[in-house]
Amino acid sequence: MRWRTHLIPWFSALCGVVLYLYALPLATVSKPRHEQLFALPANLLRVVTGQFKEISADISFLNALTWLGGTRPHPETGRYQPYQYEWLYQTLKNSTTLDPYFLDPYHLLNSALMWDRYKEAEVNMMIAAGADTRTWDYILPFFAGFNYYYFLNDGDRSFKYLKIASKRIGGHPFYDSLAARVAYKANKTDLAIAYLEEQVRQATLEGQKFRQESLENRLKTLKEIRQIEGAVEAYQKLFSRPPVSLDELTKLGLLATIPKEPNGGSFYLDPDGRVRSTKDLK
Amino acid sequence: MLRAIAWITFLEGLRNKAVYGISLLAGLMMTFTVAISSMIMRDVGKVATDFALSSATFAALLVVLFVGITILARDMERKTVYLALSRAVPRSRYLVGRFLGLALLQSALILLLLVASSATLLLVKQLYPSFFGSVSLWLVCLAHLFILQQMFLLTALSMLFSLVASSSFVTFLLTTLTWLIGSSTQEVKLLIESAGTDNISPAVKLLVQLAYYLFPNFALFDLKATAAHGLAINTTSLGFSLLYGLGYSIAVLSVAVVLFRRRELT
Repeated sequence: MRWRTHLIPWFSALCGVVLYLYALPLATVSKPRHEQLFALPANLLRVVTGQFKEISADISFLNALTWLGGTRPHPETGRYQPYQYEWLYQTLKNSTTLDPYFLDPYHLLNSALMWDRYKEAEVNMMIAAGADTRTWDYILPFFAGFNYYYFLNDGDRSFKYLKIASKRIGGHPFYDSLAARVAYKANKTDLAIAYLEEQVRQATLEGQKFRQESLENRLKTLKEIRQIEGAVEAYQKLFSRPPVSLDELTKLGLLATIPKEPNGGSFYLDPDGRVRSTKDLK
Repeated sequence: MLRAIAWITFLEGLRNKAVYGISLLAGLMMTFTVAISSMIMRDVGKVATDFALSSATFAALLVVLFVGITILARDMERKTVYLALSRAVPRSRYLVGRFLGLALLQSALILLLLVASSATLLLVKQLYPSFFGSVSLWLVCLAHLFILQQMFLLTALSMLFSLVASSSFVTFLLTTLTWLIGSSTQEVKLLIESAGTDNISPAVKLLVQLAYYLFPNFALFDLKATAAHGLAINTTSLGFSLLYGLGYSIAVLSVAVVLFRRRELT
């Protein structure tokens, strides 16, 4: 009889657990999907998390990462819903605000939002800020420079960040030529020449002969282009329109001869009056 | 006599079961650190350091709140303070002895947490050598020293509060609030300053400035980001941070001594 009395509290506890587990899903009011994803404002988090800012940044990032791992984009468009992108953006923004040195959220911003073209300007501004903060890291300035050129058509900023990437430890030497190409395509040939001259000087000082030769070849091409551009500018001043071909420049004596393209191709003028080469300017 | 009071306080703290519970909690959090590291893409070392140092801060904070406060408040509530004072122990010596005992207890706990943090980080480094980043183990040690410094300061504050508050719960509340406010005043001040002059009313600015200078700035003792990213340290400002903590602790403890001398023990 006594053992039965002892069992009563255990039995009642079990009944209580069954009851609350049964009632919980019925009592929970389901919210619309866009209300299920919410992120607190970054500045508020900065204040309330106090000395646990860094761990909060980690948790925000993990939240975004696990969400991405468990959510599939729309099968037809291959994209997420706008409210989902916005939540992802805010969550990763929180992570970078709470710990601006944390690398992973920048990678996720770049892969999940930039390439899906969601708020490209804002996302790349965050990546560029990360590049400015992580002064030892070459990958973020490379991302920022690439994105400015590829997605945002901003040659000046692209040049700036690619140049930074090439100077940091671990930065690929190719970033140098990429920066120069971006400057050239952004109509900043003088800037590209100045930049390459500095790179040639550095390569000479460091005794990197192969790289020096490659840079010198590129520099020579750009100098030829700059010479032709000078003649085109003079033509435009005279006739208020760009020349149709390079021959016009030689006929008028603005250019003694059409310079030889060092890579084996030839120079020509595109419909906008910009000097181009038939060879890719590597 | 001072040494005896300090040693008794230390032993009293060690006998408190909360210390073991808190140490166990910190140990579990550090084990969790190893598990969570596998979910991180690149900055594995940084996340592991964040978790280890946050666990250490949290555990040290719990010791101040649940052990430090209890010891002094119990003395007042249960009148056990009479036992010491009846032996002609000066009140100032009694209070300083209590403080030193608690400081010793926290130092022992921080040492234990440092060993646990270092072991956790070395294990993570062993598991993910390519993704450990620029975590600096000596900065992790320094971060623990600064956690200890802020806990000394918080203990001094909790002693002051226990002398003015009517119960240990009020002391707990005041100490927790001071720690929360003191950890955020620097961020709030920065936000107010960056918001510009037009958006914030002068009264709010004044209030923030007042809070900034009145409450201890615990953010000065937070070196988590520095250790996790191996950032360069400014030794001068770190030295001044230690000096600030020392000055604030001495000031608070002195006020506590004055209040304790004037207090009527009935």
